[in-house]
Amino acid sequence: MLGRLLPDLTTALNARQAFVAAARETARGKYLEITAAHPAADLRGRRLPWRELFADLIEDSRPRVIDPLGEETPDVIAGLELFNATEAILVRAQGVTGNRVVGICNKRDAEAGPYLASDGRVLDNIIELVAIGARVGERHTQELQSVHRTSTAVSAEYELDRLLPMISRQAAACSGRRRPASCCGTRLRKTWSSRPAMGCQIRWTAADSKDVIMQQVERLGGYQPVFTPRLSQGDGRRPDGIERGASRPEVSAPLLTSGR
Amino acid sequence: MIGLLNIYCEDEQRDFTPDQADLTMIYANQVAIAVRNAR
Repeated sequence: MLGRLLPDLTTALNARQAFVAAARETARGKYLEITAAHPAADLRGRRLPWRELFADLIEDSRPRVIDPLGEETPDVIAGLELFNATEAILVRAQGVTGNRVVGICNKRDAEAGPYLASDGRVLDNIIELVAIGARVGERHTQELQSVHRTSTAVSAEYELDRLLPMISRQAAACSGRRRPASCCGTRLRKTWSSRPAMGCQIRWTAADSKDVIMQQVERLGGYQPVFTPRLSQGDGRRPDGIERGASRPEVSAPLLTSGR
Repeated sequence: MIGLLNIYCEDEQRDFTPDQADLTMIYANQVAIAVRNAR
């Protein structure tokens, strides 16, 4: 998505080149890998050496405008030797799976004046808007991959002690929280069986309290997922059972089988 | 209804969104299928 913007960015900002590079880290160190470049598309896959400039940009996310005014033979910017860049604007694009650096290099028309801080802000705003959309796309991709993994597991595995914690873990991981917890409880023949999966230390042993919750989920949600705060409506109190803390956000989804 | 899939977070007060609840429902349906298969 970012790569498709590069031709227009070079035109709008009077640049000769533009690139998108993903921050990578291996056991041998960090580097930037070019994922898109304009006009030299064949630079894709090439690496830019890790420099303090990139580290600081990714750390604080402030756009960097580098334009050595008045120098007849300005130095090439350290890290951007591949573009032979003597002037550049660099911004960060934050994704779900990592950071990217978007840069434009070298003015096409030298008479047009220097790059200004306002140029950096313009590029930063454009890239941030695109990055917001990209993050949504990345999250949905991760969710679909996760659902596919669990679907495959359900088709191939019949052992509930392995399956239920795995599915609960995937559900928690896709919750958008840094430290989610999940627990799956089933009630068969009036006996509760719970399987804490991720960060959850509570076993559902009090069958009566879980039945109360299930009744309220049925009443309030109509077989839809229910936010626990809604459970406290009506009688003015939260049901006992699932949680110790009284105010944490929570969502409960009913396990439905056909005809029940 | 044969059970519940419950997701919560101790250290964030931000409520879950309807989209996240829908996704949880997808996983809950998979759990229900797994339980049915195990029978």
